[in-house]
Amino acid sequence: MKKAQEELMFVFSLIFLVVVLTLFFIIMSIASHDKIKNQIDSLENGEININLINYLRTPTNFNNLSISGLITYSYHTNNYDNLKVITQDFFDKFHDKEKCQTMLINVLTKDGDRVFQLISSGNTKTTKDKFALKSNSIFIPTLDADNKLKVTYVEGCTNE
Amino acid sequence: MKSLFLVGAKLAEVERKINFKMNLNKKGEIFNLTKEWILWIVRAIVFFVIFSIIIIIIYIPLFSQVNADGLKHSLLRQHLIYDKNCLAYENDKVYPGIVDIKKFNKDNLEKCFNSQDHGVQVTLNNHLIKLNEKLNKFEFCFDKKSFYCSNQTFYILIKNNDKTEQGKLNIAIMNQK
Repeated sequence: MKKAQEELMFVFSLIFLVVVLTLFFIIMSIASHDKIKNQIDSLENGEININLINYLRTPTNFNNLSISGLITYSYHTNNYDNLKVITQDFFDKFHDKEKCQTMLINVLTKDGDRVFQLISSGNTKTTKDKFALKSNSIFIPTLDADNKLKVTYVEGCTNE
Repeated sequence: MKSLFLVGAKLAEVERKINFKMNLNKKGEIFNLTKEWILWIVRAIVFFVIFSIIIIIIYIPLFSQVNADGLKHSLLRQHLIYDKNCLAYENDKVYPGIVDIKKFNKDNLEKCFNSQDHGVQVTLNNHLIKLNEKLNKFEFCFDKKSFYCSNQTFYILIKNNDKTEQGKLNIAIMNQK
């Protein structure tokens, strides 16, 4: 009977070893796979930089300012009407409403107060598996030396 | 748990039988050695099975693949937009995202884009240029099971002499899976 217990312990310890190693490798492979996928996604998301940068450097008819200049001007005069018209024009020209569920421009102060936001909605039937939400932010200076504005661009489009 | 106990009991029974046979034999020394050998063979088989399972478990994550086609397409698109030899406007310095209209022609794009594995369609405000005709013969990405396809539209500024205009640049890329 003692011998049977010894053999049982031998088999049981090996099975225990297999179970522990299996769990370790399953957790490790899931974690590493997710990490690689997140890195790939973040690299792909960087592409919308171009849209945000071009939005900010688009020339306007308002005092020959670019949109980034207009944002700063609007912040100091506390009047966002011109910015709203020009941003709406950007959405009208650029937003493909069949492919993109949403497009958004958001301006926040250093303290996180929202001073401007405009949203354009598209086809909300776009299936979730094809739909990818990408966002990018950039800081632009103001006339106050210690203050800056955070401009965020968000787009949710299919990539097919 | 019950089955494990049965395995242990079986092994002990084998050992008991061997002991019994050996007690009947007068050449005890030789058969004592045989008993140990048989036990070790059984242990080695169990150990070999377990070891094989461990090796398989270790190799499964090594063979798992990450699909990097999307990343390749993204890098190719960025190459087309950021590189001064492709579409980026240059005036003392390079302006990524601003397209020089003079550079938007088939000869220039074929020179800067030299991947034989990817079919590309670049559309700037409804003007279409196809690169790598081999993969562009039929309707673009007609078979989504065999091809990986991506399609991205960018808001760009177009430099036409001294004028700056707004525009849309669409880049569609496909490659065989």
